[in-house]
Amino acid sequence: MKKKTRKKIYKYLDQVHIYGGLYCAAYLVFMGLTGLLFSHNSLIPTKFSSTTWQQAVSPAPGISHDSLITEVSRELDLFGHRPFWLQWADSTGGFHFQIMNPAANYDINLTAARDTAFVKESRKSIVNVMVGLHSSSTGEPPSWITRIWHLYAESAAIAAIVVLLISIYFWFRKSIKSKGEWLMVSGAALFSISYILFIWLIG
Amino acid sequence: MADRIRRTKRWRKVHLVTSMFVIVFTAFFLLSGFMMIRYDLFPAGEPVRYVKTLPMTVPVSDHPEHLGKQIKHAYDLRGRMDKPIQLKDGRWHFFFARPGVTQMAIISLDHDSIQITRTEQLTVPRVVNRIHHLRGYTGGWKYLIWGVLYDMSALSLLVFALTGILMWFPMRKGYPYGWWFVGTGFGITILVILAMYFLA
Repeated sequence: MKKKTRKKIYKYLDQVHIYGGLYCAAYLVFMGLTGLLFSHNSLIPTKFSSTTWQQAVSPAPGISHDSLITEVSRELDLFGHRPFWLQWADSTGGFHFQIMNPAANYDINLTAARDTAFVKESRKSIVNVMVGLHSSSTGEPPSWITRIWHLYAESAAIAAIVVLLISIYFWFRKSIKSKGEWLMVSGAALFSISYILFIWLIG
Repeated sequence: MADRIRRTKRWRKVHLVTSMFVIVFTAFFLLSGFMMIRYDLFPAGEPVRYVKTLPMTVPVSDHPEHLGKQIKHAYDLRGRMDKPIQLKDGRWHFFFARPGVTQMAIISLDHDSIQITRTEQLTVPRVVNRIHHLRGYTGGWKYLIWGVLYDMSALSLLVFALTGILMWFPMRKGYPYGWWFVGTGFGITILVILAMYFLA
């Protein structure tokens, strides 16, 4: 390859590395911080402040439990995961379910007549919100906030992978020069790969 | 000027040395993170379950943790052991997990047999997902080392991002759109956190 062409490619890769790195920096900081919180989960608050409120609702009569939950959630303007193991009908005909999102948990009790929802709302801390968003980068539970987050997380993850590949290229082109550095990088890489395989296969 | 160059060189060195140590782990977490974000592109498949009942060959001790270790060894149940649970009917329940494979062992009430349920989901997306979720410091020395490596990878993400910004800042005139890129990333992240906290 001509020296001029190589220089041009090099300059282009450098621009992608810097701009891509700056774009995904927030994603890396966020994922690094919340990843540390997952590992030291005693730092994640588990007690939340609760309030109760009630609202009149009017779901269509005779619908399935799934549709009932969807309609009532829409009427109450709540979004979140709706764990199936936390849904049940009691002996009086009342129906109970939960809605969970990164910011709050809602315990919902529907009267037997299905005309009023009694809601216990437990608000979470900003730390819980961040930890919840770590997992919500999939875009779940669906809402406009998680959709925006999903778009950014996906594009930032792609940018981070591209930046990483360019970094490896830069290493080989200019940073790793001595035999000692080669040994250190190969040793660290070999150890990491072996350890991942060890945990997977032997566990 | 000389001071600024020295500072940039120092950040460059931190950036490089950190990446050399944890590059594989960081690459793994970035790739597996992307696979989870786009789980629709990487189907995890269905789990396959095998159940077998074997004669109990291990003397039942009063210490469930110790008994769990003996069972693990005697029946070759690999993986990290959860805290043993005593079921309502009095039987002891042990759970062992490694990426893609979980094994549940229940000792019969009269201690003469053990039921082992093995669940396998060995597709690449599922195994990668489970490795991504391995964290914490319980489960013995293997998982202690894993916990340290996991924390180092998480810390290295912070180091890469912050030293990268610190290296770009003195050279920002050469990269005039840098503010737009860094501002977009941090702007969206902060807005999403606040919107989720106040509006959800």
